[in-house]
Amino acid sequence: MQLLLASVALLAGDSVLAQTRAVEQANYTLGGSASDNRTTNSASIDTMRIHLRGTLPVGDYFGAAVQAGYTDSTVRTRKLLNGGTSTGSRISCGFDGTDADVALFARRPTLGRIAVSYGAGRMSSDCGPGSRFLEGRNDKLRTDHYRIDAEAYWRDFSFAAALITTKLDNGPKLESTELGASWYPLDSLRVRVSGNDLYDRKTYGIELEHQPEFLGDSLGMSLGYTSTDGEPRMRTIGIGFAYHFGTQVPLKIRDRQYR
Amino acid sequence: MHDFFGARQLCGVLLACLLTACGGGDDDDTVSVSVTPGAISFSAASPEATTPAPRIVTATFGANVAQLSVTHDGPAIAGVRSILDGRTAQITIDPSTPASVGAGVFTGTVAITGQVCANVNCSSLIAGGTAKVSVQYQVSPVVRLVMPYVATAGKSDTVIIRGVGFRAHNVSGVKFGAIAALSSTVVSDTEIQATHPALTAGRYEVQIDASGHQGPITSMATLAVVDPVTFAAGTLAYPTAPASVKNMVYDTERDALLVATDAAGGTLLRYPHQAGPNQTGLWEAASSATIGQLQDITLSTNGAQLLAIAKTALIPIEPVTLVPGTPLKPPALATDNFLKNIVVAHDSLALITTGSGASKATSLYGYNLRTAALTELSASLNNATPAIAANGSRAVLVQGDPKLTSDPAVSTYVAATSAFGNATVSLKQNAVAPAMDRTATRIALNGVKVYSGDFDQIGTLPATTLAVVFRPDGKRAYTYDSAAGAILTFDTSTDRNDTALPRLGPAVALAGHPGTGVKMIISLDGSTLFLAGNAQIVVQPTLSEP
Repeated sequence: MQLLLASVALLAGDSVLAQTRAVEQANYTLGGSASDNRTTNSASIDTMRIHLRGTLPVGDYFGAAVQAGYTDSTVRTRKLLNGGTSTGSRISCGFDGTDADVALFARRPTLGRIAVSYGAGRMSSDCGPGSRFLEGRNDKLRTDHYRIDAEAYWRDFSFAAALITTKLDNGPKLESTELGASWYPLDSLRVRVSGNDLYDRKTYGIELEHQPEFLGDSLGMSLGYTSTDGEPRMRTIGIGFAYHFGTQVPLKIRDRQYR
Repeated sequence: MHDFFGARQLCGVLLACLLTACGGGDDDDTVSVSVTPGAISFSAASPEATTPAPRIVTATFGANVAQLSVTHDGPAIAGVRSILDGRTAQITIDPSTPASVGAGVFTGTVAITGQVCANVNCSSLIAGGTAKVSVQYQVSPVVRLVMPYVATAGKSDTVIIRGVGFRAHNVSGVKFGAIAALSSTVVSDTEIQATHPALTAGRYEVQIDASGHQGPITSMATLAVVDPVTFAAGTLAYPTAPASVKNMVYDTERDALLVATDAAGGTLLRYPHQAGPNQTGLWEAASSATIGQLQDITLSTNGAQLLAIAKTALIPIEPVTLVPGTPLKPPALATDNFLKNIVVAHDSLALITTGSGASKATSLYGYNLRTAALTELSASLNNATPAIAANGSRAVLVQGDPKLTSDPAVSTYVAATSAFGNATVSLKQNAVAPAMDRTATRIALNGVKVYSGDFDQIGTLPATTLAVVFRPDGKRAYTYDSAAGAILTFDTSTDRNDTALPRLGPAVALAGHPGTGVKMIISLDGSTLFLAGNAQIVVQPTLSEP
């Protein structure tokens, strides 16, 4: 981890890209994803998400991003229950949620980006009379989160760190740190590794995002995997897409000058 | 690509750095769920029993669990509720109603999953730990009845046992009291065919062996074993001469003859008979009860009630005192229709046919002996007359009248499936009531045609037959013959290919002339015939031949 931070410090001297604005032009993205979340000896959850994001320039050095998303999840316990064929059984339950966040950031495309953001979400469950969100003691959960992000760009690499505070209704604050590093072996391909300490557990992830030129540099596809250490072990595999309206630029340029 | 080699080196170092932190493997109690107890059980004494009380389990969950999802599966569970209290939840498990699952052993599982935030923003959830509760639910079998419910001492015979849960509980045997059956076959979840050994006189509760069952099994069935009774040939006079006799029932358990007549608008007579074991007894004076418009009588499946039907009501009657109970009106009985005949099947349904002044189909009714409900059945027949096997397994119903231009189908009722059907035989009924043997292996229609149990005609009886009955084993038919004015005996043991059945022995003259409109029944052991006409009742022992 120390090596990662040292690498971030080194990149200040790099100036491969010409200095441009924090956000070259307003741009919008529609994205979707599907993931399969599995926990050993426990339930699996299938999640579908769709989101819309807009990024706007605020002067030369600043930008703002607004994002809203809708998530639908289904908890599957058929295997745990050894069947799921009886009349009246409830072998799955569902969640749906909406969330939105707004971020303000400063960026120099040759150096990096610093952002602060606030987001809120609301989740509701359809899991029957036996199921409850614990803090509200009902079938709804409201969340708020604050983030501070820092990202540094160096050659084909980006290094990121974030501090996140998430509040669940009347429940405790969840403080977590997230570190990540991205590598662009091609301008249209990004490999990102990340880790966070949510719940004081170690979660690691790897994600590949590709924005092929033959699709006009407008459509990106991603494949990701995360794993959380400890018992029970949690693993998530997901795929996603993102369609970028009006901005046909390579992925690396998009990440550093548009997103 | 820029400086690809150097980039790859750096990437490798970075990945190695991250992955070296991938230790872990420790249990994380903050996302776990535990539950106690981990297994519960319910039990109900029968499918008709009330639903067992819910059971409560306590779930405890870790500090980071954001949501508790409770799912369940299995027929044992009707639903699950929960009440939160801090980091614990009282989870109430409601069992299914016994009626909804029926008899058997059922399982279920409740899974209690603690959901935690899937990402740092908590925009979705991922499962933490899951704790499970195993549920077992036993709905006990019940023995409801045995038919016939009376047996003769010293004689082994077959009976049908009805109830619920026989297959679901893997019933492996039957006992009469403490005495094991000679054989038993579980025909279905609700029916067992068993052979009891020769028993001494007494009452034997019918019990079943179900090795996997926990606790006692309810039995409402008792086999009443009585000593054989010898009747002397003779006659019984009516207190008041009737114009016609509706029917007769011999109450084997209590050694009494019950006769339904139209005297005084409807009279029920009971002739008690007193005899010691293997002794010829004496008939006592008849007691009587007036039942207006009395049409027919039969005993219930356990002999506890005498079911009488008048033209517009079913009346349960105490079979010894003849005290009538509350009449039940058949629903939606048309004004020109009337209740006609009644027989009791081993599915606890008393079939009631109806008639009308015209030749037309009218509804049948069913009286459920378990629920005491009288309902209209889906079947309708034309002035049908039923006969039923003594074990209640099957009824045959003839219908129509000689004026019809075509023969209506003979109907059947199978108690094992509680279903009506049409036989392969069609005919117009005449004045001679149909007859069946104890186990429905022989059927006599119109006093002339004799069929096997599957309606293969095996022979014919004389056209001069006024009444017919079969010996319980079906190998002999006894007819009251108008030409002979006596009882004739026929061999019905083998198929005679639709020819005249051979007569056996001499014609047996009766001790008296019963009069007209003769009804004839046979005692359960096949030793005695009872004939009732409008003149008197005649008691006639059968020939002692093989």
